[in-house]
Amino acid sequence: MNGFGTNWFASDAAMVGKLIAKDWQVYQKQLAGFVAGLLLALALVGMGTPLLAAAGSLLLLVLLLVVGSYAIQSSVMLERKEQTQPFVMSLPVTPMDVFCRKLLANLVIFLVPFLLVSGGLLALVLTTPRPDGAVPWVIVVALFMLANFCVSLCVVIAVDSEGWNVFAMLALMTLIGPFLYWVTAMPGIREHLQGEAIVWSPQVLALVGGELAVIAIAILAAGWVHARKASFL
Amino acid sequence: MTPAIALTGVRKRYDDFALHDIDLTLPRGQVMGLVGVNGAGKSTLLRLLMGLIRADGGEVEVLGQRLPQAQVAVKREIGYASDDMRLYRGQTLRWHMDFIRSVYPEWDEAYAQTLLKRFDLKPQQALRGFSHGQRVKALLLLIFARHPRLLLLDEPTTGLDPVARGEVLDAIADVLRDEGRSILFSSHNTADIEQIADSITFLHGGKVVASRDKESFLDNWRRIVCRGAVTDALRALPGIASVRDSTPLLELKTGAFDASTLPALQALGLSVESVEPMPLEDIFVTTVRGSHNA
Repeated sequence: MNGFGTNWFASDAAMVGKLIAKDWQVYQKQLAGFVAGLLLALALVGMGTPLLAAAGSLLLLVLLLVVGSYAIQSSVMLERKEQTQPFVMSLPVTPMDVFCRKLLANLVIFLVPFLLVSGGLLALVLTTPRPDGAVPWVIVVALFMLANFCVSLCVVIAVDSEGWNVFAMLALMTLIGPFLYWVTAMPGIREHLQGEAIVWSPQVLALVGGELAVIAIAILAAGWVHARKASFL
Repeated sequence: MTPAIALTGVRKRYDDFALHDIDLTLPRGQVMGLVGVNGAGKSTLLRLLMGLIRADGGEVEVLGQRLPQAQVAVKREIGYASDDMRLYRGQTLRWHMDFIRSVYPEWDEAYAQTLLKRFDLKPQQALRGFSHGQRVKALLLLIFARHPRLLLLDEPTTGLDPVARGEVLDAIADVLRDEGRSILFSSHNTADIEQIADSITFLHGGKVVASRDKESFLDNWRRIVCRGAVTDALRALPGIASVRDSTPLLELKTGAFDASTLPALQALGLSVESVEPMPLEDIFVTTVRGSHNA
């Protein structure tokens, strides 16, 4: 059944694919610029000097946040503001097709630089004299960034108010600094950071599990809210 | 034959506005003009038909299929254009044409090229450089070139200059050469409606206040000027929607003019000076005022 409120899955995967390709075409130029910036930041990190590594890491973090915000603002918030959403909804799609497209298109757009950054950082840690013990920390932090993005995205999809959307995105961004501090000082992570062994401590596994659970819950909650919406303008 | 549109008891409530128990039928192959002031509910009605909003109650059937259950199949057959619907500003018209072609296999590229010339549109120009009139024509091109069986046009001529308005109306008239097509066309410009509609529905305050074929609307409404006095018996005559006393003359407007109207007025001691047909705009205003007074 393709009716409102009951179908949790897209009715037409091919149609969703076309919508995702459309979004990719619309935003590909800007994303190419972001990817170039991320590559530059990775190069800075890889140069070895502490100053350049710190500058590169900061640039990576900022660019990743900017890419996430840009993707969400352009493909969801701007679509409402510039009134292109009725154009999309006038196509042969269900509201859940549009939900899947918003979710997947943004994930694809974000995952390109995210995987580039995460993969690049892991490669740097594993292939240079840096201690390999930082690998779990990189993964925990990377998943936090992904969860942060997913929750922001799901809030924006579920809530139509631009004010609440901006508030949620800013509030989630402010968590990043404290999280980095907290997780770096956490027992089970802190003592292995400078070691050569990659240790998957219970704390690391709990954090990874919690982050994946947050992502899943955010997606399910946004889908549940979207399926019950009475207006798609 | 099943109608193109059949609404039964459709309701939609907002904080400050409601559509009340809308019953409306558009036979296939017909053009219905939906007339109403701003805020009458025209856009809400069209959005319901397009699945952009969900009705609180009632039944919505489009091309013989229930909404929202069959919305994907139905939307394949509908072309929807609205004053508050925009294309992607950063993309060219050609990009939009290619995207629509990828979605609708029935896309007619030859007809699209004809429309490009007719509307004088540049396919390689980004939409951000288009004027309002060009944006409307671009949107209509994207719709017409895939030959939908039902067109839902929400104020397509609003804000257009007279030349662009004429081009758009001519293009819509061309679409109507295919007798299988149906159009529901909303506007507060009664001249546009009068030009292309087969039937007319007046919407006011979220209610259908009148819905008939255009000829009977125009045939049954008359402005009658006569001499005499206003009486309760005069106001009680069937169809009398407005009585204006400008002694010694009276101006009556009736929506039920027939062979018995003038003898009935004379029987009340009135002397008829003139009888004139009414333009649709005047009929609309009189009907809406009558619904206020009812």
